[in-house]
Amino acid sequence: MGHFIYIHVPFCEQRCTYCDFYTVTSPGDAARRADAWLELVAREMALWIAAGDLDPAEPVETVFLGGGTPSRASAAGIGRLLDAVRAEFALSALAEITLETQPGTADAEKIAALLAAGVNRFSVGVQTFQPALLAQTGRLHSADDSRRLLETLQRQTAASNATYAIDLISCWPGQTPDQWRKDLREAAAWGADHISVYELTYHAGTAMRRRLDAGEIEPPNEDWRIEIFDETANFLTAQGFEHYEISNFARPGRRSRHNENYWRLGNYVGWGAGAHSFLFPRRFVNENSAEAYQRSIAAGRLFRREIPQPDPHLTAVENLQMALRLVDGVDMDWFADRYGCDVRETRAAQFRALLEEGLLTQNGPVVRLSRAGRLRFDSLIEYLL
Amino acid sequence: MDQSRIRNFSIIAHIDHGKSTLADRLIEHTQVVSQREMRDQLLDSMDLERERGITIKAQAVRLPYTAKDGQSYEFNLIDTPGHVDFTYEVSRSLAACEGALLVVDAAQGVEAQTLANVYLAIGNNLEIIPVINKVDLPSADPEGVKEQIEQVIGLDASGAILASAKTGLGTEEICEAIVARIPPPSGQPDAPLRALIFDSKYDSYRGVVTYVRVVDGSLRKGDKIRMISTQADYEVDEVGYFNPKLCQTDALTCGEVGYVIASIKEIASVRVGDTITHARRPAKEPLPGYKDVKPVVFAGLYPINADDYDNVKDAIEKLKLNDASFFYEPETSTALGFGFRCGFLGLLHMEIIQERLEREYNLNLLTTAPSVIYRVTTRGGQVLEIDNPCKLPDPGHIDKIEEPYIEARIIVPPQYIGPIMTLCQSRRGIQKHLHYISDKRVILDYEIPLGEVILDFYDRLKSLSQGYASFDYEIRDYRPADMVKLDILINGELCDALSSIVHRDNAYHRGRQLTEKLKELVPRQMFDVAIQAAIGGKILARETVKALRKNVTAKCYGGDITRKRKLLEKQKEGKKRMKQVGRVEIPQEAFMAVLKVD
Repeated sequence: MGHFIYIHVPFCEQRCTYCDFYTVTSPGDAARRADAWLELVAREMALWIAAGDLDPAEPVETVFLGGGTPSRASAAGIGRLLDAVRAEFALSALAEITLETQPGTADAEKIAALLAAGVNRFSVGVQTFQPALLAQTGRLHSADDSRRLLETLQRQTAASNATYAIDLISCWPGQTPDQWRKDLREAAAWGADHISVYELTYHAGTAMRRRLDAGEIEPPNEDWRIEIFDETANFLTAQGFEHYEISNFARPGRRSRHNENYWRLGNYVGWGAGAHSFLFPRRFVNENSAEAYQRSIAAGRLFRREIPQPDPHLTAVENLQMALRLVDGVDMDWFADRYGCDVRETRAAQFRALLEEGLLTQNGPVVRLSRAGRLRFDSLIEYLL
Repeated sequence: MDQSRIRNFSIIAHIDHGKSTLADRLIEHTQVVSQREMRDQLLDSMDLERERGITIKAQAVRLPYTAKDGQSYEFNLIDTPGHVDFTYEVSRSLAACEGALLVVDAAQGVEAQTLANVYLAIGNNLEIIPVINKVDLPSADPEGVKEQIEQVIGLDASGAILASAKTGLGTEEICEAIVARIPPPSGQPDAPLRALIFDSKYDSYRGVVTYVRVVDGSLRKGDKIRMISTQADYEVDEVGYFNPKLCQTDALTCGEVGYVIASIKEIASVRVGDTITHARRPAKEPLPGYKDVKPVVFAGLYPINADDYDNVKDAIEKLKLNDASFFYEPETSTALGFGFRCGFLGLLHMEIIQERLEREYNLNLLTTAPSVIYRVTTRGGQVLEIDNPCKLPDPGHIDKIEEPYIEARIIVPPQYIGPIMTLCQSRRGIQKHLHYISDKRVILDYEIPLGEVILDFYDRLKSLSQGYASFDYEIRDYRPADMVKLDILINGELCDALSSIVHRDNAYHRGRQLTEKLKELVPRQMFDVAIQAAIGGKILARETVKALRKNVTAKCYGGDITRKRKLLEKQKEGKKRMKQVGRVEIPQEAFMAVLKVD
């Protein structure tokens, strides 16, 4: 099976206006704290191994450094962590090692050092190339910072198997169709192997949500949001990308293996405060507290807490909510066997309605979302509850 | 007690005119309840009664009173439910009395409900003592109210007592008037026993407690008694009076009011208005006025959560133990699943039952729109009583449909006459009389189909008159009418719980109103939802709830699958309150839509 490792580095210089992940804002200090954090993560790994939950004979398939702003950490710090992983597990060049990379945090020299340390996939948080839209994100970089980073990556990865991905956010308040088309075309033109397009979500507790609730901003209307969804899919597909998940596009063979493992309901471990782990059927969380995490790990205690399972039906729907996102669909025979709950039977009428209304398609035991199903996936899941 | 020292009376008043407060003053004045035990609305023992300021069950209390003449008297105050739904019960409570205090608010004047009850009292030959209450209010107009009592009711108001139940003013004068003006009972102590049943309640330890007024003869522990209407015999375990708790005594003698316990298991065996006699020496004739009470308003009660069915069944059975006039039977709806068809004496009765079930038994209930009983004559000559629109036969098989009419009396200040007449006309009302009681109050008498009144008539009346209109009715007769069944189809599927019987002339309008209202109440789904109103196969109106188009979480942060668990759990809880019609999820409020259109 191999290990899929997520490492959460929560520190940011400044919080983005739309972000609701676990972050710790440390102006002027995020880099230093990130390096110190990676040392704690190495110690957490040792605690997991000592607990006997990770088979040392299995190789590492993926490492994903997410955040927060993990690219604030030094290349040396990241290298030391990867060395620590290598000391315990087989971590070959074939493993996918991703670093969420924020423009403005890595120059050519740092990229070279990261590549040398083993990072082979850079996920670039561009979000938008439009200065007017970038201004409302609270991000500390400019569009030109993004371009400089992409230019560097294009140059430095050309000779290797290393790759880079671009994250875009669509449907900003005030975004014109023309602005969106420019973002999409520029992202494709940078030669990334992977593009994620996330429609802006107004998460509770974010600055963006407060502005929305206060009536200061107005999101694009539904017609326009559907048009963006379709136009994006059509454009990127025509460019040779595969629309392999609701919000993700990849050139052949360039899907995010790490993320795909989530959608395939595979096991993974998450280290650092705010990270989650899954060792089927058990799920664990490291609570959102950097201080408590630090105390616990420093004292040699695992920080993880097991999350109780809900009832079998809710567990099944919760996992379907993950698995159906993938274009490959879900083998429902396998799924029913694995979760002890066959939604095709427990929600027979609903299931049939979804097929008849063309929101799901079925081919033998494999069930997939149609385009319409993708657009209304949250409602579809609620319908199956 | 010698009959000549007994005074049995009741208090007639409109809601909020001070009946319960006056009863409290009388109880205090005669000191039957100690200061320590005294509380407001002493006779209203249910929470619901105290909250709403209404009396649901009859209560009685024996008050020993020493009059100015130095003699001891026994007062029996019978507190009656005042609402139109309980007219029959009120009439039996009144029949147990020789007199009544007519309490009228000095500022508000005579109301429709007061009128109805005072006529009942006059019909039972009761001596009526007018009491003008709240005379201490700045807006009190005792002279104007006296005039109303004389003109509208036709009672001599010269002896009316001015009182304030709040301050206690007039209480003693009232007690003396009860002695002087209300005649003592005049039964025959040696004749065979005749005791009038005026109410009953169920006690889980002792069975049915029967409330009686002994008219002739007397009643003792150990007596073998017989219910005349059912011919059922029982042995008396205990007799007693009310203080207002049950107080055991040796005998209830001629003219007295009290209770009987006789190992009776079912409240249905004890019928209000029935006569109790002795099995060995039965009376030849029962007391007059017994009637079998039948429910007039019907509705479906369904558990919101289907798992609650057994709990609802238990609760309904328990409630039925205490309320013989409440009717139920199991019913199945394709839209709502398993539930009960329930019959009520009226709208208030329905509300009370629903509220008691929800409150005392902690249940969540869905009530379908109420219906009256339609009398359907089939082409084959069969007469059917239809209390559920779903059961209306195919129009091809119907020869005629008759619907119940009420005689409605509305009393209202003149400035509201216009809108109220419009309301009555829109409900197919026929105006019978209109006359001024004074320059400030008008009586409007209408004949209206009951089916037009049970939905929201009273609420509309209240809002059109800014709360000033009072309303009372009695069922009059059945009349032929051109009624049709209006169906609602959801995505082409008949939703039985939303069917209603309406007059053909109103069907189109009603269909449009209903579909429009439902469109507001049915949330957007993943597919278009067509809501149609139809008679037979003919579609009268259509609305579409457009499908949700885009609703998808863009970024599913893979590691944290539990991120949305709280939302899923909340959604799942919310779905328990939804009913599935075909593939459409319908919130329970939608089933009450029929009540909300206008």
